[in-house]
This record gives sequence, C-alpha cells and structure tokens, in this order.
Amino acid sequence: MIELAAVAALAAVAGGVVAVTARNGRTVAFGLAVAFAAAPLAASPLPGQLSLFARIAGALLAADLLWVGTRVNAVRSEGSAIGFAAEAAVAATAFLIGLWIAPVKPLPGPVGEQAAGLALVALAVIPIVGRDVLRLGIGAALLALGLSLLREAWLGPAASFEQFAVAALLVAILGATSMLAAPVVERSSDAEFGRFEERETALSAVAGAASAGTVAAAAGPATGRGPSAESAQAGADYADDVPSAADAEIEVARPRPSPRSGSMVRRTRHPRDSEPRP
Amino acid sequence: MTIVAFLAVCAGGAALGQLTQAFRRLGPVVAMAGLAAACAAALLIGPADGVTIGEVRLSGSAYASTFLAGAIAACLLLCLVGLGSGWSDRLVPAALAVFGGLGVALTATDAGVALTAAAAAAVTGAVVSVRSRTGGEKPDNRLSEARTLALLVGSLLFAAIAVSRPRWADQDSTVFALGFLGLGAALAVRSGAVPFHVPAANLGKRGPSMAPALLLVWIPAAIGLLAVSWSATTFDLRSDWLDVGATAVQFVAVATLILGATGALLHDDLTEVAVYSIVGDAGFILLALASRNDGAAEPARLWLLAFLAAKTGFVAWAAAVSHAFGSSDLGELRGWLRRTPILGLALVAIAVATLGWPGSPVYEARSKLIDLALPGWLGFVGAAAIALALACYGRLLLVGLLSPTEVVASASGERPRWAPALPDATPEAAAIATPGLAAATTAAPDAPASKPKRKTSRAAAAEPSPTTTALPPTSPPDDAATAPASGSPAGPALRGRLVLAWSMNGTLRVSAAVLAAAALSLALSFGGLGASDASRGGIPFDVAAHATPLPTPSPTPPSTPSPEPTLAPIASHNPRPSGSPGPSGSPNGSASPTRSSVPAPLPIQ
Repeated sequence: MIELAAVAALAAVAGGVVAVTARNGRTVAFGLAVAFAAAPLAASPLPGQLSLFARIAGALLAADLLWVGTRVNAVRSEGSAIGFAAEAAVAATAFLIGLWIAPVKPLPGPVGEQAAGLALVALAVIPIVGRDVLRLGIGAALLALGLSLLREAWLGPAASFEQFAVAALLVAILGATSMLAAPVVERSSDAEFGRFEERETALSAVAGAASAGTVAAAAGPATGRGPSAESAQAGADYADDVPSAADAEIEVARPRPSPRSGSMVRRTRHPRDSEPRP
Repeated sequence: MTIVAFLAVCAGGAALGQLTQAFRRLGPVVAMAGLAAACAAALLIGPADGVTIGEVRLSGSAYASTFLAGAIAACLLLCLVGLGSGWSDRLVPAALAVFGGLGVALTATDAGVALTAAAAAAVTGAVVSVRSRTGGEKPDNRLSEARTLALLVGSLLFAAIAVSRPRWADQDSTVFALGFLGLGAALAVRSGAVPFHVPAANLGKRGPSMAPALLLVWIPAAIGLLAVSWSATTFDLRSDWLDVGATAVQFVAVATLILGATGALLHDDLTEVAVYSIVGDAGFILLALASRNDGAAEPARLWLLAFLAAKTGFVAWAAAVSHAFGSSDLGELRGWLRRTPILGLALVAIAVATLGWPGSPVYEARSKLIDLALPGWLGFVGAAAIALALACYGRLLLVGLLSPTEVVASASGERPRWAPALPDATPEAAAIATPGLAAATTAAPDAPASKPKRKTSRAAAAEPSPTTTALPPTSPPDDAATAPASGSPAGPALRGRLVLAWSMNGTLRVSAAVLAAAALSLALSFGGLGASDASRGGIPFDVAAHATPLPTPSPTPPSTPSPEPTLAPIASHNPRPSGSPGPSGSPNGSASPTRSSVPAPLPIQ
C-alpha cells in the first residue's frame, strides 16, 4: 500500500524541482506551493488539523507573495543554472541517499521525510551560490523547508507552534525575496522644476552582466498623489509610489541575456492581466 | 497574557504601519503609536507571565522584557530622529514584525521554535535594506542581503537541529561542532563579522541610513542572546571538533574586533563609520559564544543591552549629523561640533556607554568576555579594541573642533531661532500656520533627499520660502482668518510664530532626540533601568538550555500531546547568578547533559 507520507515526500521534492527550474513566476510559485503544502504531510504521524491548516495556508500565502511580486514587478527568471535534467538528477540522488543513510538511530520520523529533506537541501545549493536574487530566495526557502523536514525526521513530530513558526518563516522568506528581487526605480528629482525622472535600472549584481543595461524610461510629472507641481521635495516623500500612467508607455531596450546565464530579466510594469512577454 | 498582548501589538502595529505607510502624515503617526504601544507592552512582560501555545511554553522574564523594551525604545528614538532627518517608510513595520518574532524567540522554551522565530524575524528585517534611490548608484546590496538571508536561515535551522540533540548513530561531537559553527555563522553573517562584512559595508554605502540599526544591531543582539544561552551547556564538550569550531569563532571575533574598529577609524563616510563601529563591537557577542563558559552569560547579557542602545544611538547620531549639514563625508564636516554641540555631547555619551571606564559595568563586561573567551596572550585585544574605538570617537570629535568648512558654516546648526517679526499676521505666518504648507516647508528634511535637496530645505528654513511668499495675500487660511474674530488677535500670529519656530529648529529637535538615545544607552550600559538585575536572570531559553530537553525516542502518537519542556525543575535554582556553582557542582548548576552517555528522560508535566 502506498503511504501518504511517501507520496507527500515525493511531491515535495517534485515541487522543489519545478520551483528551481521553472522560468516564469507562476510556475515557480506553483512548484513552491506544492512543495510547501506537501512537506507537512510527509511526517508520520500527521500534524494536527490546525497545524496542517497553518502550513497549507502559509504555503499558499508564500507562493502568492512570490507570484504577485514577480508579476507586478515583472520579474522573470531564466530558470536553473544547470538545467532541469541536472536538477532532477541532483534531487533524485539526494533522495536515494536519504533513503539509504541512517545518521540517527532509531529514526523517529519516516525515512521518506529524511530523504525529502536531504533532496530539498541539495536542490537549494545551486540557487544559493548563484547571483540571481529570485533564485537565491527560492533556494533559501527550499533550504528552510528541507531542514525543517530533517528536523522532524530526526527529532520526531514538531510541536504545533513550531509548525506555525515554520510557516511564518517560509512566508517571510518569499515575501522578502519578492521585495528584494523587484526592480529598482531610480528617481532623480529636479527641485526647481518639480519633475521626476524615473529609470528602471537593471541591477548588475542581480541580473548579471548580460542584462545590466540601464533603460531610460520616462520623464514626466510625478504621480498625481504627490504635490508635484509645487514641491519636488514633498513629492520625494512618495518615493515608493510608482507612477502608473507612464508605465504603459515605457519600452525596454536591452540586449537579451543569454540563456542559462542564471540571470533575471526584468521589464517594466505590465497591465495586471497580461503576462510579461518572454 | 502580556506576551500575547505584546505579540498582538507588534503584529497589529506592523500591519497598520504597512497599510498606512503610503500616507505621508498618517503613516509616521501610526508607526510611532505602534512602537510606543509595543514598548509599553514589552515593559509589562514579567517573570511570572507565561502562556502555552501549541504545546510550546512562552515564558516571560525580566531580561526579555528589558531587552525588548530597550530595543523598541531605541527604535522609537531613532524614528524621532528619522522624523526630522529622513523618514524610512519600511523601517517601523519591519521593525515591529522583527520585534514580534524576537518576542517569540526570547520567550520560547523550545529550541526549534526559538531559532525558527529568530530566523523569521531576521528574514523580515531584510526588507529595510532596500530603498528607492535618488541618485545614480546601483543599489547592489540586494544580492548580498539575499545571500545573508539564505546563510542565516540555513545556519539557524541547522543549529536548531544540533542543539536539540537527535540520537546520532555515531559520536555526536562532530554534529555539535557543526551546530556550534552554525550558530556562530548565523551570528557572524548577520552582524557583519569580518569575513562576512561586505553586506554590512554595502548596507552602509547604499542602504537606508536607519537600516543598520535593525539589521546589524537589534537582530544580531537577539541571535547572540540565543546563542549564548546554549554556549555554556550544550557546547561545553571537550572534543577536538568543538575546540576547532571554538577556535574558528575566536579567530573571527578577534579579527572583527580589530578590523572593524580599524575600518571605523579609516572610513570617511559617517554611515560607514557607524557600520564598522557596530561590526567591531559585535565581535564581543562572538567572544561570548566562543567562551563556552557559563560565567560569560551575565556580562554578555549586559553587553548586549549596552550594544543595542549605544549602537542605535550611534546610527541616529550619524543620521542627524548627515541631515544637519547635508553631507555625510567627514572631510566636509570639519567644525560640526561648533554648530551642533548637542550632537557632540551625544557622541561623547555614546562613546562612554560603549566603552565605559575601569570599574564600570560595561567595561567590566567587555573585559570579562575577553578574559573568558581568549587565551591570556591575546588579552591585548581588549585594550587594542578600546584604543581603536577611542581613536575613532576622538577623530570624530577632533574633526568637529576644527574650523568649519563652507558646508558646515552654511548650515543652520542647533542654535534656537525664532520666527521673524510678523507685524500683522502676514501671509507668511498664515501660510506657515497652514498644515499643508508647513508640511511643504518641513517636507524636505523628512524625505530621503539627496544633498542638493537638503541644502534647499535649509535655505527654505532659513528664510521665508518662495512657496510661502508666492501665496496670494488675499487668501489667508481659514483658521488665521477666523481666529481674530474670536477675540484674540494675537493668537494666529503667535501660533504662526510658534509653528515657524518649530519648523526652523529641526536640527535642534533631531539633536535632542539623539541625546535622548545616548542617555538611554548610558543608562543601560551602567546597569540602570533594571539592566543589571535583568542580566543576572537571563531568558527562558537559558532555563531550557540548562534543562536540555531531549527528544523522545519514539514518535508521539497523534492523540497524545507532544512532551512539553517544563521549567518546574529549574525554577528552584534559577535564575541564579551565572558562574555560581550549582547543586551538581558544575558551573551551570546542572549535571551537564552533554557529558552523560545515557540521555535523561524528558520531564513531562
């Protein structure tokens, strides 16, 4: 008979593989949601209903944060630096090793949970050593998930409050990642004329050399919320307000990064119902 | 319930602050109110308070209350400085979320919960490292911050596994060494210790001016507190691997102490000076971890209180000086002390709070940490750190005493200025009395403005601004027009003058806030405000560490609640001055469970 814990462990690893290899935010978020939601089911015995609800709600919230962050800020990723096959091989190898080794005797949790934990930790290594902020955040989330699985496998079922803490940690990681990975709107103000010049800047450290071109975007009045006509200084208080009217007119002209470069391509904001073009 | 109240206030304040941060007036008010409420809630946490949530006991303690209240009060003062020198929208919501996470971490008795909550808090704080730039610099601190985040999470969660002591098949000292290194790495990475100092340096260069206080002071201090709690008991094994790990942490600590202070001495940018000074002093937290001695717990706790208040004050001081003169370059700030003597007084107070003098609590705490953590022949490190720090502070003061540069001479300084004569409720006074225009006058100091904008704001404050004079005289504000009819003709003029005076003395207000932060740090450093007594007790995590809850060998049935670490056996002999021999004769007062070959059963209530 197929055990739920084993299926959940496999699902968690599969979700992790999808997350680290997918190229668009929606698929990445889906993979993470699957991994996060399946991970608590890999424990034996299953956590309580409230803990399970918290973990699944946290998984959905974390994935949604990442998805919204990548969609609104038009953050896209070039996917895994080593490719789907290599990532899958890494995960499978680590999973098998996890099934084989026995560092803790007797093992309080299911061996599948240990294997899934090891596989997720192994999957997290490549993104963490890369130079892509989005990938780094995904790697950190998978690392946290993998270590939480290992902890449960080696120490037994976690307390309910610890499940809440793990859910909060995963939400925090992906929330912070979506903010860190968002493109920066540089804003230089002209105090005399009360006009702002905005530029979307490709971060060289983040995006890699291939996509490091700076894109001149729009020069126009500030957002209508700020007292743009009267005072540029007061308008600077709205530093986080991104003008919406000019966004649709912004065009990006930068060399396309080479695939497999581990870089991230960012474009300006798109209408909410449209996907960034590849 | 006070713990729950504190967590609720932090969560609510963070949510409200996030929701209102787009509102220019409401946002700071909500943020400050949230901080004040959180500070009050933290002060109410007492040693007898406790709550069990999800099979995990959250227990209050005097030290947790003092630590949280001190950190939140320092944050409140920093925000007061920020109101005048550049408000950071993201700081307060992130800080409240961090304090909520740290509240869980400092009151939890379960290692997994405490370290996971600390990791979540540290991750949440990372959002303040990014800001919308007004210049052309490439804000590449995101990558380093994301790496820091990943390393921190991995290190803390691995340490949570190691200190919980799974039943390793082989000798577990290697795993303990890795757990010890995990805690040390988490601490070193987040505090910017020397091999990991690049993110901190990037934060100083390109991050918001207030961000170092959250990311390099408050969070590392809390992580250090958790690490020190386990240092003396769990890691007091005498194994080769652990000795190697401790030596590595000692090496990092010494390098951080010396090179951090040297960096603060050599850099010319005030924000970088503050960052490197923080990094250097964070070396003492690493020393406390490396000592693996129960006697280091009390001085480490006192040092952490002094560290978080004094370094927050230093960050506030750097922001205030940068705002007052529109520059953070020390070369342009010659003579700053002549124009802002209150800030000079605050700097002296911060230096005293950080270093103390022989016999003072903070000095003795630093000395004891060096004595316990380092071999005798490295005792000079303490003196070297003090000498370098003195040189750094002395350099800042000396530069302030030189003849003022043009930048400094043109600044308004702290000298109180009053509104110009307003013969008969001029439009200027009326316009200043109008909230919107008053806000326009003071908007520039609040905004994260670049250098030219700050100069413009000072010029606007020094003389009637074009904005106000450009108003048509025939359109006075409503209150100014209606007030004379109520029978007090001097009312609007007086109020206008007061408002104008208030808006013209922004530097004075900021300096007063910095001085208050320095006073808080002085009080905590010298054991005041209950810091000395609280440092003797520790946090519930100390108790749990001494109790060393061991895992049950078999999985718990689903219908049976998980075993709960209890404080009851410890309550009889804890809190107790650290270092005093316990009933078992061991320094920590308990038979060291790490040395026992047979695991003790977990006490179950």
